[in-house]
Amino acid sequence: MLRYLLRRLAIAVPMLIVASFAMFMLVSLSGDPLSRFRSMDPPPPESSIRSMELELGLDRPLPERYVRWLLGVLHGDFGKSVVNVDIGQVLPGRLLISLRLIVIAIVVAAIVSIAVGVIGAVRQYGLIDNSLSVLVFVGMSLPLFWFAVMLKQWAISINRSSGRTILYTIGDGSQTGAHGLALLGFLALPTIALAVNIFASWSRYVRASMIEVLNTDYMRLARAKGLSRTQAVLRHGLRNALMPFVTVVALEFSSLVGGAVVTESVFQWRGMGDLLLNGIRNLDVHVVMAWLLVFATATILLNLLADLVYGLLDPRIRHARTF
Amino acid sequence: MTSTENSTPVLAVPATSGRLRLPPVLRRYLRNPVSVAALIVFGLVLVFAFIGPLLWKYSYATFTPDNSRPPSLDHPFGTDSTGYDTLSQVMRGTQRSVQIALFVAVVATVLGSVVGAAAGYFGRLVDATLMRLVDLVLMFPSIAVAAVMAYVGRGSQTSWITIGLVLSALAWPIVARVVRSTVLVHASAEYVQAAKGLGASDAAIIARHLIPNASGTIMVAVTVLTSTAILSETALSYLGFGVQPPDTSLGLLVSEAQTALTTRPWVFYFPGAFIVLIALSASFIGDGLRMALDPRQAKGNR
Repeated sequence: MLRYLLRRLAIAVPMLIVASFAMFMLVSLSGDPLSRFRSMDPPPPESSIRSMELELGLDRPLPERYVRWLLGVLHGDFGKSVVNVDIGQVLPGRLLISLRLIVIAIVVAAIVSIAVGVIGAVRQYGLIDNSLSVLVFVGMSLPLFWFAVMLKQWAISINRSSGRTILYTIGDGSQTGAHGLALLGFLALPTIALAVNIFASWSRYVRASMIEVLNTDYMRLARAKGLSRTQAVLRHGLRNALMPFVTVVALEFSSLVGGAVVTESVFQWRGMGDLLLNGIRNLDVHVVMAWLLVFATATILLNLLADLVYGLLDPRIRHARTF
Repeated sequence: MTSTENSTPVLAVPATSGRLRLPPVLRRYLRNPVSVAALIVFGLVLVFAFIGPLLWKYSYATFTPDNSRPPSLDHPFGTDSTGYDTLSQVMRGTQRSVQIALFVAVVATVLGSVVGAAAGYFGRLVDATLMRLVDLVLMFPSIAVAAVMAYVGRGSQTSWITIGLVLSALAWPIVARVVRSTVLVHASAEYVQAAKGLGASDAAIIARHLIPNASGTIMVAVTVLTSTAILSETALSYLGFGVQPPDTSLGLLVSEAQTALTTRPWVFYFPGAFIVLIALSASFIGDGLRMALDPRQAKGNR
């Protein structure tokens, strides 16, 4: 297993370098990050622009800039930002804010999608399955930003009718110093929005693999030896049906992060999404790269985790891979 | 470039000889009322977006004297605060959004099919190289890449094509993977060996045998891509990285209307509802196609 993990990491590192190089070039070649300062009125003195260029390393050729960034990152230095924030310092706070949203949304979406998928499979083409399918299809077609704005509107009317603010529609709560349970008021709406956005496609996977499992011989055997349908599904079916689901969660991580960025934008959170979007607007290459590094690391870890969980759920794979 | 030019006339041949295969699929598709309804709705949306603006009395760019009017006979979808007629705005936005979605579906499917078929057919080094490329593209966070690329291409007259190209560049690997796995099954089949023995070229085998055999998978991919592309495009436009004013898209309309939700809800609800309508009908068409192509799975446990 350890050797397998090491081999996976050995493939991931060169891929990461190629990806970061491509991204670095893409952002750097998109334009001049100092154009805002150049077009200021009255124009700032030539010398201060020159010194900013020196500080950001813009006077050097592109490949050199990339290598310097890469070496810096290896030493824990994320590089200079155009808007003068210390990237290394803001990153942990931003990450915490976004992780809170993403992790809770994943848990909620997983529970709902497993329930919906299993019920749909057991009652395939029955009334329940068909109504759940329609619900799931609507969920898949619902634009996240549109739904999130509607949630906000709905929360405002709830707050108004109850006379106090139960559900917050703006901010992540860190500015007001909320912590612990008080954060739930800030978290509720964004989590619902994101979870609704992702549970739909996940539940289709669960349903499909559950239908497959229900037709297997071992499920028939479980019924034959006297287990009730529910017992058989929960004890033997679920574990096998959830295996592909684990990889789906890892595979769809990119679209999940996309959804989180949109959600943060609707609710005006100052998390990783805000960092990325502002980084792009300012052509702030080091900020975008820092975001990319966090994203890529999370993706790699998630895929490794998926492999580990796979091994736990299926002993055959666990044994096959030790050799 | 040359391979696609070559393949067009060749592809036309199996279409006629494949007539034996097509009707059962079509018949199964048409037997499902939901699929038929989805197809009709999608057709109506196309008529609304492309023919509607020619017939409707207001253009999306004209100011009417009525500001912030709720829906009425004169303005079925109401007007916004500057006096734009929301119906004509939604028509224009739907046109742009559908244009981009279909563009992405076609470009990504063609590119993904060619790459996937080549990888599955040639195998070995070609397969390994192409699939690493697929892995690499899939590793990128699509939202970041799309936003950067769209931000660079903003402001130009052809910005909708830029967004279409950006989304296609991110979407083709998924098609490539699916087509590759279908082609892998057929690449070693005896009829392919026979074609090879008769002296058919690689390009001809891919175009005449392998792609037609994967056509079911490819057709489903087109519909799924249409649905996801419209959601990605509207999300990008909502964030300000997509279609730019004075042009408009459904995402941009929602974004402009979100602050006025209490005072002018119609400006917010209509464009959003159209996004749902398009994405929903596209995914129901895809689902119907899948069931029609694989009746075993559809009826399995009835």
